[in-house]
Amino acid sequence: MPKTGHPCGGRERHPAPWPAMREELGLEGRDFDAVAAVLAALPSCEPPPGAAETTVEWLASVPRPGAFRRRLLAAGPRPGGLWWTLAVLRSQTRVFSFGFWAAAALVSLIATLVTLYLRLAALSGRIDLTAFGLALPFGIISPVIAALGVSYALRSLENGPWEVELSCPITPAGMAMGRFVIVLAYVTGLSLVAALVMGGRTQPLAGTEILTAVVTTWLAPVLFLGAVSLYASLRFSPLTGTVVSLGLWAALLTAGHYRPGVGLVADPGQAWLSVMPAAMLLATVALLLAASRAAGQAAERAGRAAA
Amino acid sequence: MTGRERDESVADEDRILAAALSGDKTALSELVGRNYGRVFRYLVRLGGDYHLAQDLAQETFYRVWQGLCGRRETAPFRPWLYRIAHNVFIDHVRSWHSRNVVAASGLAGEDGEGEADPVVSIVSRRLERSQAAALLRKLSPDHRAVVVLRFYEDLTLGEIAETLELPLGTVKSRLHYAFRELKDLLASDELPGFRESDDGRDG
Repeated sequence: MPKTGHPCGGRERHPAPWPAMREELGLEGRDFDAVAAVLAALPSCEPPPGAAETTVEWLASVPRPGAFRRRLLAAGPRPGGLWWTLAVLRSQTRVFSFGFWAAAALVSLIATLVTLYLRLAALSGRIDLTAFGLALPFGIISPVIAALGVSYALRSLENGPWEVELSCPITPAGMAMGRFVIVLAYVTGLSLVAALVMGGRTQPLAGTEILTAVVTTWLAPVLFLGAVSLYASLRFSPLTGTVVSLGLWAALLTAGHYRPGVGLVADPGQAWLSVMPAAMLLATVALLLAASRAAGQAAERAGRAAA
Repeated sequence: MTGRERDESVADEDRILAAALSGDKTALSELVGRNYGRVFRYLVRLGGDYHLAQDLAQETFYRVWQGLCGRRETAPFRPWLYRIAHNVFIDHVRSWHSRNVVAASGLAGEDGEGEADPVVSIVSRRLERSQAAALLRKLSPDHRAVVVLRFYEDLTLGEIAETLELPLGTVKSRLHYAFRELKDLLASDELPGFRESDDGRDG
């Protein structure tokens, strides 16, 4: 590029060899030579003197690339370890307000008391509980709390802070999974308390029976509904996540009215066992898709910002 | 530039990038110094505005600086640099600021009167009177970008495809249709007030 005293002096000399370019593009006719001649006459502009130096000075004064992330990472435990995982979970508990903890505990308490009342009534022979199943209504409520909690944890997707949250050093997938685990851990904690209350007041079951009952009638539905809620919230919106997961749960509960042996209300143990493998597979797929989607959202935003 | 020279240049660029990332201010200075003119000229050709090119060049280097640590090391630097400059320009075109400043400058007059710096005033007038700049302005930003990258910046079609993140076929067709459009514009006298003798000369 010819240097001139004037910042826009001289004419461009198109560096791309025009005949080769014409052939490359399949352009025929002398008219295209005229176009090339006009384009080549574009004034050649040099940047103002000192512009590059000014830019360097300015860049040297802004934080170095990744400085914010490095500073945050240096302030905490090393990524990947147990303490780091706990730190991630701890940081994510801040998105839950006191109202969430209290409401979930209150609903669980009511469900526990009703279940306890029903079981005591069944033990004294006043009602026949086999028509409902021993886990009701606590078994119905726990997955609902999990599904609602996951959608609630991702509410920032719709109101702006998600953009800021994505800039933190935790990966978005880790962040979404962290919130999922927090909800599940809280529901598990509530359920353990409920189990202790109910276990002390009713006839204890054998160890394997307890384990089977916990896994099939409680843990599996909680995991299933929580995973569906997580994926639907990330894919569509938290409201859609709530509607889809609760709709699915309602359908599973009441399906027995239309197809005997499937609905959870009519025969909770056996019915759930028959759909559990498919539900667990679906939950695994939903979790993988949710993690992938969260990572994709980060890439999209990073791409917009950096390039 | 021969293939060997290009390889050496790429290796040299990688060394400078690594040094700049590690906090070496001299390397940063070299990185900007080597590429500032290239980016600035690309933006002038794309936007046809000397002042605007200065602002956008600074924004481009800011994004380069911030994006360096996330850049794939195997990706060639030059298309990546042009991509950032291009995205900065497109963001500007789409921005509220651009629409409103263009509207305001339209009301104030378009002949560069009132420009504080006489040199910049001359530069602006020279660009405004250039038939080539007027032709380029008639193209859509997408078509303009491929013409500028191929014709002035001498990027290969593959490099343009990488820069604009487009399939090679799309780059070829855009370039083909852009030149046809330029040819039709030139033939149709849609650029009133220009004569061949106006090009590149002060008014």
